[in-house]
Amino acid sequence: MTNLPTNFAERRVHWPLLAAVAGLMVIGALFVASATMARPGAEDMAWYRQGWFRQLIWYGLGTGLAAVLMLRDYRHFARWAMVFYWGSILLLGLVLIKGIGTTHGWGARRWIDLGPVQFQPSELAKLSFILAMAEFLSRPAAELRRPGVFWRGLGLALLPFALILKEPDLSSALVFLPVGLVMMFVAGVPVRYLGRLLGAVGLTGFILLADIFWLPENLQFINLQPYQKRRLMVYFGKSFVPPNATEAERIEALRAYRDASYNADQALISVGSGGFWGKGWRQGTQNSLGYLPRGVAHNDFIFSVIAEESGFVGSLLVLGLYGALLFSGLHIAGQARDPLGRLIAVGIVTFFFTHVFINLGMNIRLMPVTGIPLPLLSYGGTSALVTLLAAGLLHNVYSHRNQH
Amino acid sequence: MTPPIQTQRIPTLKRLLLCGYVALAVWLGYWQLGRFPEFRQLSSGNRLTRDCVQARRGNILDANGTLLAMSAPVKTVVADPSMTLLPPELEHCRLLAAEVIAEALDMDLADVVKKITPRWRPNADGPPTLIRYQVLKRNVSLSAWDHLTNAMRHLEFPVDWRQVGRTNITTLRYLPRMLIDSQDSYLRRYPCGSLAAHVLGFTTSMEFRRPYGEVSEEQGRHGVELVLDEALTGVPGWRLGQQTVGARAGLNVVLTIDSGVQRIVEEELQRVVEEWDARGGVAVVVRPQTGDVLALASRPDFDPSNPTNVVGHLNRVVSEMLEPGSTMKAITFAAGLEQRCFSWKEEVDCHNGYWYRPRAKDRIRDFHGYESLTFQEVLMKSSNIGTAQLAQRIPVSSMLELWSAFGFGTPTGILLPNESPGLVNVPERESDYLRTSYGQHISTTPLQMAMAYATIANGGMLMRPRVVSRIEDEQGHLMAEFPPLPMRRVLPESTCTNLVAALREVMSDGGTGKSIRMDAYSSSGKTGTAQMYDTVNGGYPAGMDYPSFVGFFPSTRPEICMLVGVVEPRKPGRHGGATVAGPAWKTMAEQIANYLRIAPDLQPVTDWHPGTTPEGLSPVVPFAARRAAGALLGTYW
Repeated sequence: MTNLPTNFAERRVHWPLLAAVAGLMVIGALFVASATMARPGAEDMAWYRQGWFRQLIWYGLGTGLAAVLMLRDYRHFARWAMVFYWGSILLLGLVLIKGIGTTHGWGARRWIDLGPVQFQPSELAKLSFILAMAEFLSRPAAELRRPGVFWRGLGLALLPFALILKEPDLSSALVFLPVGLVMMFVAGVPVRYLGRLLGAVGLTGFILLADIFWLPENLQFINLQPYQKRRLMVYFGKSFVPPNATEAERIEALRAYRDASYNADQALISVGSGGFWGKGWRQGTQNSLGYLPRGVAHNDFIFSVIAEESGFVGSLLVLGLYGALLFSGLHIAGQARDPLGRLIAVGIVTFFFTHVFINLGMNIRLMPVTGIPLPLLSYGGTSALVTLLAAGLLHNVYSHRNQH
Repeated sequence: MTPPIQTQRIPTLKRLLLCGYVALAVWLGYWQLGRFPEFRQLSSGNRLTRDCVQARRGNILDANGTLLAMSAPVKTVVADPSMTLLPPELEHCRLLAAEVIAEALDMDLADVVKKITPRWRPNADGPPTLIRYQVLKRNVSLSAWDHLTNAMRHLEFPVDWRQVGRTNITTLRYLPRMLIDSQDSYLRRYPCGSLAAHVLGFTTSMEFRRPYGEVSEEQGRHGVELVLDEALTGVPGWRLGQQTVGARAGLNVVLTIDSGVQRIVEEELQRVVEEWDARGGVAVVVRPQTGDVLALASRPDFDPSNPTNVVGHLNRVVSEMLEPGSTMKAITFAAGLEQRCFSWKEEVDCHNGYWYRPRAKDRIRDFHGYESLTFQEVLMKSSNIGTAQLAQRIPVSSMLELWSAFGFGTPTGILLPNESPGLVNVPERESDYLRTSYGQHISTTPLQMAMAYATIANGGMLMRPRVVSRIEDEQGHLMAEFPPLPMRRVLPESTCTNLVAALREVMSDGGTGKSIRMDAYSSSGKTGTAQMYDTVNGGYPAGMDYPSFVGFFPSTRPEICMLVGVVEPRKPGRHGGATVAGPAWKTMAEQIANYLRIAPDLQPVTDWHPGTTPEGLSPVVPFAARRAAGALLGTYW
């Protein structure tokens, strides 16, 4: 059989995927503008210093990189998967070192300073992990049934998990578990292994909660950050007031509860008060008056702004666009002719879904408050860049599905 | 070569994803559709900018448009203490902000720190809420507010930004701009100081809790500020989120008071009160034809912007009842003229200044004793005995009728608070009745007496004294008018002409008011020296006098009617109306005539001889011709 360059008359462009990404970018720019321009003094800033403009630059940059990524077959990149993976691990290690990593003034050491911009290696690690995991799991079905493969795959996920947990950034770290789990599931790892893993995770979670809620303070053995503990207590509606507290202690505890639950409460008020049609773009009172804290309105709580200002209609539109993105991804996974493409697609879809579900969930009190960005909508360079690269990789799998 | 297991597992994943998706959508719908009304309520309760837009209180202007009372825009500086929610190690930043505020607003540092430190309002159930509104200082001038905002903008915190943490960075970045805010407010100012204090009155600031926030409103407490409080007070507006309902400013009140006349009158009154070491003084200037009050002064007075002198709050002109004394004689003579029971040339026995009526056991004294006088001379020289004998010829009922026609015993209806009606008793004994004929045993307010003379000057038509001429809105549109209001005809015109001529003789060489005669203007008036009733101990103690002079000028076409009275002069000496009040009246009258450019009706005293033309004067025109021209044109020449 000669290796002739053949031109298959098949579609190379997945329009629904591109349309969903473009739609999300438009909504993202609009509501980042709404959230950032509500700040005092923001109106006086030059247009090129406004949040929405910076976000547009990141979108442009991300789209360009994604386009470059689509030029070559994904299999070509997959050969370098392990290099990317260990490179990411190296960066995650470096970021923990004082002098290289920067706290950005936010308490946790998560960034590497690159002059005018900061770069968050944990975001990039998610992408390289998906690539590496897909490459690792692309092996004969018989091999996948072996426990050794399962354990090595698990190790592949737990290594970045542990490093990111060290930053500390619990929520980013937790994303690796469902992505790894789903990829192993789709690759064909026996359900009993995965079931055991799920059971172990569930048990850990239960012990964690039991430790926080029922054990007395001095017997607690799991050291969560105090704010994490408070967020969990708020999520489960557990009162801060210790038994047999004095009146002063009671007031102090109630105050602490109020502080801890403030963001979640105000986000829920924003979402709920949006109603069916919403209050109109830049008309949201929760957003413009600063009830939704200005430090988080444009990134972690951007969905509250969207829901308040565009109502249930807007929320469903966002949900619909993400749906289009995710189900396009699954469609692409189904169309892929090799396990590598399939697993890359599934990994990326899971990565998106985890983010969307946790972020939306925290806005509507389905999840505890965590610092996970909403892909393409939240303000933030690294997140936008990595999301667009992931989407580009997804599209690459579609474009090059027939190359073998 | 696809492992078959993978083709099975992708649809499973699809189903799982769909489940998660449906859960999200349902949960969203539950909050956004199901519980929307509840959350709408919550978010509308969440409005920081729910406050009151203060309404500017109206101005008070004099007849020439001079501002007598105004509301200057000031700022009420408020703080949002929740903006300084900082950990203990950053508390020096709050202190720094407090220092800037304390310095700019001239406040106590400890007080500012206390006010901008976050506090929680405990709720009965549920968590306590953070207080987000705290008034720092009221009545801050606009320049001080500018200074403060400038200083806050340049506030820099000496902190290591890499160490303070994410939330604190946000807090510190917004603190300089968000900590303080201001609300427009107004401060009542009286640009002319204590001028016309008794007409203007004063206001006090009161705090009211309205549905949309706390308001500080000025409330009139005295004078026109009190009587026209409703017109002067505007309607406050409010701000709810971005929606602003503007305030409607209060209406401006235009008085008939002429601040120039008022100043002349007050300065002279102050001088005479000080000269005679008097307990008080009154002066009121009215235009007889309209009843316009051009000036109204009472001593002691107060500063409207700081009305702490409570003794000065009494407006003696309208509130104090005084036995008028001899000024009342003009009324008795008016009654006599009406009854046609005497002629001016008729001689009357004046009993050498001491008239004892044994049956009534009643004595009447004159200051100067006279054998006999004509009735003209009785009025000129102010003989009590002569007046009493005239009163004997007048039936009590017609005298009472005339008094009530002049308005004694009823308030005049001037737009000023606490007006006293005066006191008119139906005389029970003849001796009381005779005493009323020369102004004792009857009480009037100085304003009533001035209006009685204004009635005589006006040909017998009593006008309501008018202190407010109109009410305007901010743009000067007329909102209400108070035109001159004729009350009633008290006397026929002929009687008044007669009486004016007789009162003019008071200023003649033989009259009590000789020293009060003016060079360029003919005037009619009457001196009065009343003994004051001691309201505490009863009786008429020696030395408690009320000397007054009331009159109008020019007699031929009166333009100004004026009363000057000095209450209880304590400087030793003779407290006669002509010696105490008269000179002040004359000084005021001359200055007012000058100020108002009233045409003189007497030949001006000059040292040039007719027929020559002094430098700068118009060619000689015969005096009669000039006077005729002046009367025709009604202008000063």
